[in-house]
Amino acid sequence: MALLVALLAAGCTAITVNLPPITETPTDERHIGKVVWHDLLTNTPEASRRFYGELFGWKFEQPRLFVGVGSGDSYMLIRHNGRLIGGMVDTNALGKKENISQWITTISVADIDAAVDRAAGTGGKIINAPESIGDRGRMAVIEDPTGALFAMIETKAGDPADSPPVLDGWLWDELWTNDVDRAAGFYQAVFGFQHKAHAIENADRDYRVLEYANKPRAGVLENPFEGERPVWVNYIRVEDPSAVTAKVEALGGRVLVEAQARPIGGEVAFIAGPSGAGIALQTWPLD
Amino acid sequence: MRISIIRRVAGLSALLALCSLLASCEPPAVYGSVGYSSYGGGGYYGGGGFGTSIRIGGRIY
Repeated sequence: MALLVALLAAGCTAITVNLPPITETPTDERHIGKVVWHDLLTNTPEASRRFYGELFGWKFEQPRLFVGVGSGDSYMLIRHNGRLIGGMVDTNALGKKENISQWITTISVADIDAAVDRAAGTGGKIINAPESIGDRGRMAVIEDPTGALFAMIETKAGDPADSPPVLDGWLWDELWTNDVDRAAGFYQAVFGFQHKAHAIENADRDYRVLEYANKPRAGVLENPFEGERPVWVNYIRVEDPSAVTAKVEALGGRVLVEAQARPIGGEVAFIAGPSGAGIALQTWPLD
Repeated sequence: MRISIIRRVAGLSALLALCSLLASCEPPAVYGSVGYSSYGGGGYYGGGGFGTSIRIGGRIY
């Protein structure tokens, strides 16, 4: 009897998620509106691991995920040059029959309850209410009024400091939406962003930049894929997009948009990993 | 004999109460309610690549 009770109690403890902080040393900094984390949801974790590992040199490791009962195998941390840059969720462990693979963009807030209230009050849909994930903080998943999924987090140990983008690391985050004005208004209301329109030379559209305290944090663009679901797209800084796309299919991914020159300078490309989650490539700086 | 029965009933009751408590222990999976892929519509990767006919964005400063 005692053993059974202990096992049941351990079972309850086992589902207490305790994710490590997104910064390995506490920063006690708060950067509202900054994209501070990226999680890959994938139904092909092994193939995804190989894909991103081969393309960008990322390393995957298993955290001590569950309090008291060792490690879980449904979540992995991603490192680049030794630094934590994201996570990977095995969606098979979520009991999903459908493929929900995608990258989830996570934006920092100071008060997640208040931010979720603002999101709900301005047309957002709360997919997952604020929830504690241990040392990492509290997190919520939201669908914006135009249909794009994103997450917000109130970190417990602080946000990562701003730093120059490194090769094969995150460079930029961008919302592709079918209603730029509505989306920009929503993110302004939720995070306090200012949004500035920039006319791109030789391009047939404006580019909206979301800024907080005069720092550019993300872009908003009319969805290049007409009629498709709005989506947050994450850009990796690469040296040569063509060299990356040349490897994609052999690693189980797909090239969705071949490397192309940008009117403003540099090159971009858009690829999908083995599970179908898309990710963009860009050279940086522009010239 | 009677004490033994009481102990067993008490033990069983405690176990049932514990099970009842555990039933409310939902796995706190923040992505558990996500029901679709942002790339699942088909247009992003249905029917092959898009070459350079689609112009995407990217950081500008």
